[in-house]
Amino acid sequence: MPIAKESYASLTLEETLAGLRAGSFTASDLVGAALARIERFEPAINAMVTLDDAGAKAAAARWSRDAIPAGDAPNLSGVPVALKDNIMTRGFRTTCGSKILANFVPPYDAATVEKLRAAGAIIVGKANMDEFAMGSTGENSAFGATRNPWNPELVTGGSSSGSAAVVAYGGVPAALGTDTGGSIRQPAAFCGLVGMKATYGRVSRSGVGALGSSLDQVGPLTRTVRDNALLYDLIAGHDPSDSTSLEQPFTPTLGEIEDGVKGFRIAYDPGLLESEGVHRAHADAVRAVVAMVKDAGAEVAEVSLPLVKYGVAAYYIICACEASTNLARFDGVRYSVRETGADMWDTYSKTRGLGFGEEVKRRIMMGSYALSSGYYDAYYLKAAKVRRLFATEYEKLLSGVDAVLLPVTPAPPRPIGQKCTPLECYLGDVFTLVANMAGIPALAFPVGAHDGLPVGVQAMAGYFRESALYRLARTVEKNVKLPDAPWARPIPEGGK
Amino acid sequence: MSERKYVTTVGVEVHVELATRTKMFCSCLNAPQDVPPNTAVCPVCLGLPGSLPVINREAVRLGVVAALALNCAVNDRIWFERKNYMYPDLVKGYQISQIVSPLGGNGWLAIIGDDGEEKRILINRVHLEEDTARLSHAGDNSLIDVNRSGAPLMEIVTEPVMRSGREAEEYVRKLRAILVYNGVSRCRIQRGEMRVEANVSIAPEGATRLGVRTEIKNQAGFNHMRSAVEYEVRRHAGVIESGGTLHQETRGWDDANQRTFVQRSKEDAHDYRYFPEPDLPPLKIDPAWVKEIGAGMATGYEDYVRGLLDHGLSPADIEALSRNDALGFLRLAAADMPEKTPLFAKRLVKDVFALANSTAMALDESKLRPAAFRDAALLLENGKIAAEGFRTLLDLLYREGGAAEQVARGNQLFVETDHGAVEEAIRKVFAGNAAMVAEFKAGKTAVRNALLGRTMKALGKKADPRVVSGLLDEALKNA
Repeated sequence: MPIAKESYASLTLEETLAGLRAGSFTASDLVGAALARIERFEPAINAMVTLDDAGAKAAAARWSRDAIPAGDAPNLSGVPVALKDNIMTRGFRTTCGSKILANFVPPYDAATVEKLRAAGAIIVGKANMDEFAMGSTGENSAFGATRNPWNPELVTGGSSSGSAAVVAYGGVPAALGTDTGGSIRQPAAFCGLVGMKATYGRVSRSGVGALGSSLDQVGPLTRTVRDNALLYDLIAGHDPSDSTSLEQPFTPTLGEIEDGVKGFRIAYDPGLLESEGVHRAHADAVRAVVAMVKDAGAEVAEVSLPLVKYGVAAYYIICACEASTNLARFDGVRYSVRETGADMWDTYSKTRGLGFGEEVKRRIMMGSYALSSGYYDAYYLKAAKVRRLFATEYEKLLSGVDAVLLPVTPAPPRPIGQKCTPLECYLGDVFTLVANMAGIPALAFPVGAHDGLPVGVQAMAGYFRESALYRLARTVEKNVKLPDAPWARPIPEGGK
Repeated sequence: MSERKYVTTVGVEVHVELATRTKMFCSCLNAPQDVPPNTAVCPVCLGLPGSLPVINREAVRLGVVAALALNCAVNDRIWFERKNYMYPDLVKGYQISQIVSPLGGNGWLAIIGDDGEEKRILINRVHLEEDTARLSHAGDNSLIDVNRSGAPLMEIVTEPVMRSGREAEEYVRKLRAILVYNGVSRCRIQRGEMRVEANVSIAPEGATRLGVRTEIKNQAGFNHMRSAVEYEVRRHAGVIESGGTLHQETRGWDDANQRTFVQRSKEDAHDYRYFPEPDLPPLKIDPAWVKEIGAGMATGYEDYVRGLLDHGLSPADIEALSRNDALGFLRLAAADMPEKTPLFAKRLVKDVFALANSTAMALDESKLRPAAFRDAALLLENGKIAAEGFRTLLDLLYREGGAAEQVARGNQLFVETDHGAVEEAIRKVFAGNAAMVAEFKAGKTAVRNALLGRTMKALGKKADPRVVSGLLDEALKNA
């Protein structure tokens, strides 16, 4: 059956590749359809900070059918993708969602972008995000909030808000985000997508605007588990330009993805699901996955997840400390927006005062305070010790099981503009930041819908066991239907 | 003022730029002043968002060499910290430095103390860090040259164990000689490759606690440091005896007026908010590697100097070598043929230092490399080039660099060993000066030297006087 042209962009990554290889459509058709869909959805959603229409069209023209490598080898030749706007693109504006970088054009590509380009991907533009990845709603952007394609009255989650939204409304089949405390997984869950936060050091951080350097990882957001594994396989691996990148050999995950979970030992924490603040639909989703994996031949174990209640406090200290110094370079001297003041110090404070948003300033202050003389031991050092405990405790727990299931967030997405205190916002990261604190991989994937909104579940595994997570999620995916998903909807009427 | 009632205590912190090819955390050229401003830069040393540091192994190796040369223990696991402060010469808003786990420590360096006895100056720590960019000020504007940003820097901190400005001066001179000799740094003061800070305090004799200290920043030379320390000792005594209060502060040295002045009081001191650099995991320093570095290191500086006396060098020559920072150069030149050390020393003292004078460019500013110098000296020694050719060759190597053989060949400096060519030249000279040849035949032998001169001139620098002379005499005999 021929595919309607306007639906090209809503195809999965694998379908897109197959279509290009079969000659059902060309890369130019695909990019044209993607840009058309993006243009129609953007006024309502605001997923993109900067679009590269001309660049994408020019790149697509180079991918004639003959140019697409034949065979099944995963690649992205002619496939449009979007990048979170803290991932550096050579010669193309990269703002990190901040006014202070509103005119910043990096002279280099991030390592992951080099890999995507080498694989043939076409970058259609840069996706909206919470400023410097600080936020879990997508509202802390200097370029306006991103709205949830499932229901534009709600937030997308964050901080990879635009990456999630543009994939969810069918603008592109895949996008890259970054995850410091849940910034891929949480918007993935709120938008019905699959989102991977890999083992710390698995994906190069080179060329990624840093939030918490010891916590950040780049990862894919896609509509299917297989697509996610395909993209992850392309960006993972050792990078000598990132000293925290691991030299551990990398085996592609896609080859094992259909192997199922038979013989897996999968754990969950029943008590956690009963705890206060956990939405029933989110707890039920975990229970549903427990039942599915049991049916698929996995052994299920009940465990008590350690340290969860200490996570938010420790995480927000470490992250703010690192962010406070990572952002010190934005002083208006060499690049970025400058607000000239009476003297040097005045220029610094005016530039930073006007360039940074409220949440960024809050974290710079928290981090500077926690690192300062007399407070270091009580805050940073203690938090670092808690982090060490996370690593050892979770390594111990995950040495005995293949995966642990837990909710992605306690609660569903809030309405746009509904105020919450910083602490209330931070508490939303309680389940996701565990993986960042422990350095372990975690995957969010959709398991169904509730009240017209998708509900996701999260699985964590031991170091380098991304493959187990994909096998689990792929097993579950076969039982899941997401009715009326935005990517399957027709292009909205009206608009331009 | 009666200084004798007080005991002076001085500690010294020295920063040196390491002589690596590339920078501390990126692969930019580490030659801040040899290339136009802001050309040896990349996203890493510009501090662009997303750029990440990668440790330069050669910088760590030179740090280990320094630590070993200063009798320090080398730590087998080190890490870096971020030292946070904002200034336009600091591109990231923090400097990657070391605080908790320096590369080395607990070392010493021997000097002759004020009492004439050998004295060990204890070294507290040797650590690695990165340099800042260079600021210069033009009217209302400030200019930033990022070339120096990220240059590898080593800090060497002593315990407060020196008792006078003289001891402090002797320490830094000796330290400099050792670092230059071992090739750790070129330590060119005028280029800021070695920067010295002294901490000074005085306390009444017999006191168990040190007095209030002042830190004297960045003196332009070692004698300035000594003057500044001596001035501070007098100032402290004056303040104490007039019932005043000393403040812990940072002071600068005003050489024109021979006095120090306040730069920064303790209240203005930065809180650097040190914490472990998350972009660099701890670095394991393999003890086997340290051993290997130690084994590959040259004889210790002092043993080497003693060895030169045994080689028959005069104390005056050794002094000249030392003054010209040429001991390390000599050692490298003679590395594969120590028995030739006296020959190389002679050529350095006689020819190379003369070039330093005539070009107004010190040896370490020149393009002359030890291997090229060695080869040039050997070419002369083996008669492959003549004395004049040697001087020309040395001059070229000194100004422009290059390999000796190649430059000698390119400039046709090899002596003509082909007798045919010399004989041909003699024939031509004879043909053009038939009258002189006739005079010679008539017994006026003095014209022989004129003929020799003309032949030499015709052959140019290729001419070896001994060969030409012999062939000329033969030709005259047969003429």
